Amino acid sequence: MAKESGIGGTLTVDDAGGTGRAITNDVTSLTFNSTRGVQDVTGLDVAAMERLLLLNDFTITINMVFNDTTDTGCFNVFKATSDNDTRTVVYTHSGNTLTAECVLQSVNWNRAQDGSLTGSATLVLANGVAAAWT
Amino acid sequence: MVKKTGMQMYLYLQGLDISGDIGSIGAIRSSSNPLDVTGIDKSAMERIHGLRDGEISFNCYYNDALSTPVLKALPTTNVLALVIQGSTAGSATWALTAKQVNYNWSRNADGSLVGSVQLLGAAGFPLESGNLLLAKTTHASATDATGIDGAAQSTVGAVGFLQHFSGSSGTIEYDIEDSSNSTNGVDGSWTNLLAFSDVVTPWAATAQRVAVNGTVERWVRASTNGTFTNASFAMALRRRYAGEHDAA
Repeated sequence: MAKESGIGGTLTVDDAGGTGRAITNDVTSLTFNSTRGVQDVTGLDVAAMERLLLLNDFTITINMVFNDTTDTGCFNVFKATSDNDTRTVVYTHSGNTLTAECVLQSVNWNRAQDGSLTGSATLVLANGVAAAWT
Repeated sequence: MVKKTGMQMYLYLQGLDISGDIGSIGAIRSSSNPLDVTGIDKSAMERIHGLRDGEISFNCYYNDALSTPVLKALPTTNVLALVIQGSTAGSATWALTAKQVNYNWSRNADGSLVGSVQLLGAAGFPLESGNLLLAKTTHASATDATGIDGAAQSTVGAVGFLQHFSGSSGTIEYDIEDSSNSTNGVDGSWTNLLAFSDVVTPWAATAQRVAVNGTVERWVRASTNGTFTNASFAMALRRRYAGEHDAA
């Protein structure tokens, strides 16, 4: 394996009904963060930092172009706001798959002065299970 | 359908079409403020939805003949905004029952004068995404629009949105009808799904949000009834989904 670009990745996100929708072609860029809390536990008797890891977390921000194709367009995937739903987020790249169960925190659409209509959706971890690569 | 631009979008505010005065819409936001409910037995975050919210914010131009008199009033009551992507029936819509919280202006060094307006959800409803039943149009008398196909019946209600721009005479009855057996949005049998409050003299601009519970048939359409002339309006519908906060 050599160094790779991000070309060729795929993204699937559940709609409000729990059906995974491949919205890859609507997505222009994305950012995801797999983070862990860190507790400083440095004792008085040591000369360098001591740390423990705390809760895992995951956040993904998806930037996209408006597409209202029935069921599969990103507008329809994110338009419903069910109270108890969680969304399975699956990102694949080069044979690796990242999966996380998230709540949809926000969806924001922007009609810019140049005529473009773009949106961003932010999802955050929901189920107490760390996002995992397989 | 494919990826689309934001050209030919429209923004109706409380029965006024101010689309031509708007240069950009910076935010059409739906958010849920997730709550941290992580148990001590977990090693990663657990979250559930908290309060939902909505926002529509836009930049506008100064126009004494259209948007400025309405926006500068900064009403203390709720306003109903409807944003439409496209003008054909079935196009995506966003509706927000909101408070207008500001009306700010910048006179820039290049001579431009640009205003900004923020609408924030105010009635316990989040931003509501739906579909256009009929773009701004005028019915000279009672008329049924061609319906749109929802692909299947839904069972947990819907919310209708009316933007009434003007009328000339009589009593305008605005309705949304549904049909289980239409094949093209015109034929078949249609029944009343929900009714907006009648609009009467002086037919002033207004907007309404009406919710209905239960079954919504596959096809839905905008309909005007009563004896009137020249009802100018637009209409949209949001089908509720199971699990949504107001599904019923």
